[in-house]
Amino acid sequence: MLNIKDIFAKAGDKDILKGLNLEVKPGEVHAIMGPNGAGKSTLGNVLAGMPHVEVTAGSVDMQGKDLLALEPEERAAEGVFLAFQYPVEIPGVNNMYFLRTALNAQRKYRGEEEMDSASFLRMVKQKIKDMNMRDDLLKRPVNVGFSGGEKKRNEVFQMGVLEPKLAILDETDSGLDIDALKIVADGVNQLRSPDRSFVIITHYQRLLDYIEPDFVHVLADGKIVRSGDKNLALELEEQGYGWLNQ
Amino acid sequence: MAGLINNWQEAINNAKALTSGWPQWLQQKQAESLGRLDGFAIPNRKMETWRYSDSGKLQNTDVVSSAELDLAELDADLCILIKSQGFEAVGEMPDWLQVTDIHQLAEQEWLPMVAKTHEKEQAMLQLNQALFHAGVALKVKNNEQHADFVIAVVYDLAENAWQFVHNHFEIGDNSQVTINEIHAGGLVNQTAVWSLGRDAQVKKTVWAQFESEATLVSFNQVNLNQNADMKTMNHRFGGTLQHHNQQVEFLAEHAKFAAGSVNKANGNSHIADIVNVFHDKKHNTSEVIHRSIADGQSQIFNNAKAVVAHGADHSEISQDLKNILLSDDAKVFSKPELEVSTDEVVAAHGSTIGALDESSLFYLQSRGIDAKQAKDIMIESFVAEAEVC
Repeated sequence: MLNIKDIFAKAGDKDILKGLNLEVKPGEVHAIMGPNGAGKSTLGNVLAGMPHVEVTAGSVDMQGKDLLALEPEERAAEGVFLAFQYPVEIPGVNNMYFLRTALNAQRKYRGEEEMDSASFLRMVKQKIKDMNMRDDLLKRPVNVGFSGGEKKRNEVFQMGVLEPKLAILDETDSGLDIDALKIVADGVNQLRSPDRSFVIITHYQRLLDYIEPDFVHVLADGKIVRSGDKNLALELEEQGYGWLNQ
Repeated sequence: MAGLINNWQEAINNAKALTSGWPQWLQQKQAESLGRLDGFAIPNRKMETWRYSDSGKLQNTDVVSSAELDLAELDADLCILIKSQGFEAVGEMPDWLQVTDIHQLAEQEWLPMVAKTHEKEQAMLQLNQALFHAGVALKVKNNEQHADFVIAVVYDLAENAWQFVHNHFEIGDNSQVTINEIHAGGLVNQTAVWSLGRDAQVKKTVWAQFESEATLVSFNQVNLNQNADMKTMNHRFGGTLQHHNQQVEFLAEHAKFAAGSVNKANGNSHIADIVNVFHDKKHNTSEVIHRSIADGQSQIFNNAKAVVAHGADHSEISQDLKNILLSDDAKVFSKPELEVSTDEVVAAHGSTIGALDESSLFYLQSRGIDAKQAKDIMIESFVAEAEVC
């Protein structure tokens, strides 16, 4: 699915990623943990194509395509989805219009027929019901007036509608209470499938109580310094990151 | 002022020929206005209200074509087409509405227009009062509530010379109406007095969207009585020069005025959007929201000013001016102003100028929307904030 080889990236003058390698196979869930400033969010931004994050070396292959050569919207249409740590507000544009525009743009890129409004409405109504979210979310302007938890839930709902091949969740658990965390985790678990992969960036082990990862990686100073199974997350919860400096 | 008169002699001759049959009292008022022109300077960049507009464009006397308007698309119950001489009503005239030529107003019904700020810069207003040759007096009787009845006032004027139009809109006590104004282009100097009676409500939308080298200069005076409520929404796009001035006066208490503007300028367009609100009485509310987008080498000037008189306590004022620059050569000048001479006032003002937010653009792109469509969505999202009605 995804093969990141020896990637170096910087934001402004600051080197952030320093030779990061990661392979994600179809259906796998990888959790990325690490201390503040390690480069976790930068990894997500590199994959999604955020401007101002400059990749200076290395390669990213996604299902045979050079991801770094694509525009952000092309990456999305190829199946990359980034759930933002801080989702932006877009006043005056309701979620329904936004999502239909996004979905049809992706379908157009892939040479598929655009979805008409009636079919789209049926589909999103079913999705929002399946994900136990309130359907007034559809009529509201994108993220405007949303609480922190609602914004994160909306990210997961968008992911459900767009059905990406590779979903990157950038600290989606931050700022969520336990109930919201469960809703978000349920949404992610519903989307797990043999041909869909997840990269979950998080500070805390608690999200991984609800979304069981196949692999846990520790990212520090721009590269992955340790990998393991879900028990590594429990270890980190107990020991913190002090051992990195030893 | 002589220079302006000389430059506009043709326009003056044209206008005077069209008003030869008008009542003596009105011709006398116009003659007095023409006489007063000597006291006014030609609009120039030393004037606050013209500092950010190329007033040289006023000297244009070329023929400027107007857009063809399809009245069916206006979705109005009644269309009033203002011609260079007279008007035409298309649709059924309801019995609660009276529309006459402006010169058929009785002398005692005449409402004078007086600029309360930058008086010496109002040559265009004075010129209009001297030369107007077209316009309507529209009256809604008392206690007629027809908010769903849409009246479209369409400026269907000659294209071969400057056109001077003056209107009266008088909305009776406890009446409601919706009025849309549509400008098609040309070279137009338009003024109007809006008078709202007690508890009257008006929704007004103005469209001045030009593909051609149109020039439109306007001055609208709004007089609000007790509990009156006026919402006005302006959509302005293009033209070589648009210069709009709204002056609002609260004549009693508990009235509301809300103005939204969407100004989009590209090429070499200059758009000035000036709103002056005078809070001379207590317990009145005004809200001004401008959303402007400048591209190419265009210029936009936004100015919202509120003057709160001594004793006009419990006034509430909001001024919200936001602007986006889409090119390196475009310019925006944005000026909220508050002059408050009393204590018990709630007043808020803000102004921003910037580019499109890159993090929002990236957010849209990250969902599969290409950069151009993402910008269009963001612009629509931006201007939607100004919709007051």
